[in-house]
Amino acid sequence: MLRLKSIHTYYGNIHVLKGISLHVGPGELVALIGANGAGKTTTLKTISGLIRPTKGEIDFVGVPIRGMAPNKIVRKGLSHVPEGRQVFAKMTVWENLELGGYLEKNNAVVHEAIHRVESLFPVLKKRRHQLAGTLSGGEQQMLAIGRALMGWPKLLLLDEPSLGLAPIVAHTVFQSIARLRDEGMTILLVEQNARAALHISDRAYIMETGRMIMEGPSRELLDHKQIKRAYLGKGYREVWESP
Amino acid sequence: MGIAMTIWDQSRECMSRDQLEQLQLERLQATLNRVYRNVSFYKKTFDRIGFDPEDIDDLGALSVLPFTSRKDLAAAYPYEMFAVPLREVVRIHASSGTLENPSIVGYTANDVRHWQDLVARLLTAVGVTRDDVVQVAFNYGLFTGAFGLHYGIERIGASVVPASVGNTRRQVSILKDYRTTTLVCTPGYALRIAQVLERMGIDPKTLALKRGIFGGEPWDEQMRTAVEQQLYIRVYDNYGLSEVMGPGVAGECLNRQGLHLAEDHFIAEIVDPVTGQILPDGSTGELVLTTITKEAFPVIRFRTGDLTSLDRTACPCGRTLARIAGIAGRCDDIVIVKGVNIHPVEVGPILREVTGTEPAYQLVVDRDDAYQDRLGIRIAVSEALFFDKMEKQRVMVDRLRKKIRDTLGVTPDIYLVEAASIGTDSETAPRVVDKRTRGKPGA
Repeated sequence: MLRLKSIHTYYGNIHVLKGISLHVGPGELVALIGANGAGKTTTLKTISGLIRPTKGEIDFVGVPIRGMAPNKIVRKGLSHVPEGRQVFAKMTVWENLELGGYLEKNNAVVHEAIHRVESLFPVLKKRRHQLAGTLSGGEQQMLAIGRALMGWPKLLLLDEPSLGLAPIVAHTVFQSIARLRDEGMTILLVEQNARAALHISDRAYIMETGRMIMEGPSRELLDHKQIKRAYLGKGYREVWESP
Repeated sequence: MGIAMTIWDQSRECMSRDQLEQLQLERLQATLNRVYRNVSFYKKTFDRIGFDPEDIDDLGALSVLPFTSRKDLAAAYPYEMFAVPLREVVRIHASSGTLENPSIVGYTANDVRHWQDLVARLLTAVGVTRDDVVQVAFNYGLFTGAFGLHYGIERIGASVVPASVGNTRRQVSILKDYRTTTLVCTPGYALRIAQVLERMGIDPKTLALKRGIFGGEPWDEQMRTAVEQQLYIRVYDNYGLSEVMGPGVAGECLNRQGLHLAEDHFIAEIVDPVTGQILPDGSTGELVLTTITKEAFPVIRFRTGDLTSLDRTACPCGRTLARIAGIAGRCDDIVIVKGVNIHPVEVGPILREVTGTEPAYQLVVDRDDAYQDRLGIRIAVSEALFFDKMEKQRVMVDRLRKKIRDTLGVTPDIYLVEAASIGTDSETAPRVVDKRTRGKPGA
């Protein structure tokens, strides 16, 4: 589905991604884990075309997309939900979702897509006519994801969906992401909450200062002693586990 | 036509070349990033040639890196090559090399898990299931052979009998009474068992034994046929070495047309043993392995010293992993006798210790009528070794034999010969003459 081969990306003179390779197979939920500044967000932005890499290859559904304009990449079926839930606060939930369906001209199809999203995130149906700005953080995050799902993309890039959410709310968001994968969506998830990300994902990559240092099934990485110490924290409350 | 069979890990053993190479690249990059950061030997090696792990843009770029030799590993004794702190290590083994310092190899919990799975692959590939009783007649100790296979057998749920080595009559009783279906040992030892069976008057056809999974010493088709005919079983080859992991690196499937290499964990290259140049698929050369998932003890371009060739064509079994031909021999000085790695140079100091001088010598390895390995040491007679009394000479030869056995682990036959028959010129006279046949299946 998605394949990066030795990607190098710079911010000015700063070499941010130093030869990143990764792949996401159809139907897979893959997590990209690492500390602040490791280059996770840059990786997502490079994939969706917001930043141009200087070297390397990016293939999406078998087509090279490196250097392609972001809007063209979206049309190929790649949706990017950036960090910080950027919903349109002054618009209703319904309007926000309609905007997400801008690629589709047929209203009936858009409405059908909204219903599909609403069935995935029932809370959005309840809040249908509320202004997005009045939603809670978790609800806004679901709206942001829902909006990205409107065109039913082939691949969803999620950047820190749990950022700034209370643990119990983050838990609900992670549950929704897992459900989305169960519905067949292919997802690349960037998360600082490594434990939760490893719990719901199939495979994961560990990044450190612009380089990959490990790849493997999430199950293996979850009880990996070094990863536990570095990213999972000892005696840390398991967010993913229900209270 | 090939034989249909069960595959332990379809998702990994049957990947397309394209998928496999992407995975190899990802894992190679991660491995290089880790060794550069955590292993001073590799940090120094890479810095010396001005290499940064970020320079690896494709698999071909691996060839710019220098080789890692057994000498490098020995120099890192005991733990210098480890890429993780000792507290992450859950198991420690050593290679059977007896060169001053053996290589100490470590495994993290994850390494051990991968190892089990890779052994489970090769067992499944030859038809072992949870219904089998597998007798492991390898030495349980520092060597990787016994424990490596042991946990892989448990992984697939078969019953493992850790018989270890020695006491062949007891091995035979276990074989018979425990209803062993699968025998794991060296091919030479399997023949020894066949002999003892005969001596004990047990008809091999009355045993439950179905197959043998052999490794640990060079062998050939002739030996395979001999075991098959004497024990009435099917015999399969597998390959592994402690420095890289242990058993599980490669193994035959039911088709027996080469040993499938676990390419998702190891990158193989075949190089010219002299020039180090990479050779094309199909040519015989030295196997060079790079580990791409090992955490505790990764090796980059490790020269195995084993001669083989690489075949990437499709196998009728459905596995897409490349196959190596059965090991055709060694290209370095090491000679494997009865499963023990022997460096011929180690004999010199023993000679000096016992005789007070270091005469010219030569190791001769062959097999007796029962296919048992035999080590002979030919020593050039000089004045220092010449005694007028036969008795005195006999005592010295006995001392030598005992001393060599204690040091190398194999009891040699000692021959005192004319210096001219060895030649003192080390350029022309080989240190080792290996008379065992080396024709291999699929080669």
